[in-house]
Amino acid sequence: MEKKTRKRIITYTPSLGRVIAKGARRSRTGRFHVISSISDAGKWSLVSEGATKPIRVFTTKNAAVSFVKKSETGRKMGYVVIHSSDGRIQDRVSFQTQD
Amino acid sequence: MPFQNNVFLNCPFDNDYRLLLKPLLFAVLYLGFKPRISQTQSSSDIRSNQIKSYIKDSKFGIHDLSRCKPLKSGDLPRFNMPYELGLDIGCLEFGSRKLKTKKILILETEKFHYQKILSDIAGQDIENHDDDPRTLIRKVRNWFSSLSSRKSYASPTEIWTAYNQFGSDLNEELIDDYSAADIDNMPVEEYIKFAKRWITSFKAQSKKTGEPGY
Repeated sequence: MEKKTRKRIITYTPSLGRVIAKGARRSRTGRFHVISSISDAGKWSLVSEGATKPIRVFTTKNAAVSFVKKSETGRKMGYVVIHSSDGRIQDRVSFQTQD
Repeated sequence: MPFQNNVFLNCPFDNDYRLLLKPLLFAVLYLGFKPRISQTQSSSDIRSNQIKSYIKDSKFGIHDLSRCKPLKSGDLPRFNMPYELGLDIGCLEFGSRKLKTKKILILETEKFHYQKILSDIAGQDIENHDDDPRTLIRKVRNWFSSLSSRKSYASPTEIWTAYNQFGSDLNEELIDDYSAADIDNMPVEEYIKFAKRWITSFKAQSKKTGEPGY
């Protein structure tokens, strides 16, 4: 707990950089992002992790999450990272579907 | 890194600007350029010399004047950024043949705000970002694209989407050992190193698999 309350300076190390860069190589693993659309103001793009083109654009974040839950039948587990309009992480929703 | 790939960034480091600084750095890196930014806490002499060196070594300069105003009532306006912009324009105007090829982009929050505070910069490339990281990415990307026909640049959507995913990966890996504030306040030099490595990996993945579909 103490480490979380004390201010610490993060320093790049090659091993830490490698671990974080590993995340960039994931795709089609049941991980999704809901991101504010850059071209459709006020709308939300659903993107699978590792992709850059949206799967579909929604009017609300909830609609995007519901779409993933419905579409991902057959996949045991996954999650959706919901971003705020400035790009920060707002929430992370895990889902589990029936086979 | 050669002169033609260096981008001198002249912007503040306060918390209020972090939401714009990170996407700015990320966009510059994603487009294949090298950001040159002075966050040194050393004496003003060292900082000033570092800035001059960065300006001289960078073909591109991006100057965000949106935070020249006082942070709160009673504070004084901040003139470091207009001063550094002046150095960069001076370098372009009076420098060697190479320095005359420099390109400068000036950013502000509201359109035409500069006319009220610094009307002599009319004629430069000036864009407003509305304090919105998406607009900032789009304007910066389109500015680079307008300057060169040498290659096609990643779309604003691609950069923005990658930026969001990078933020997620960064948080996911660091949150067990650091607080959210530690991650938010990561020194710029460290942020650049993590982002650079992540982007290399992300682009390699895209190249290997094509655009990953759903």
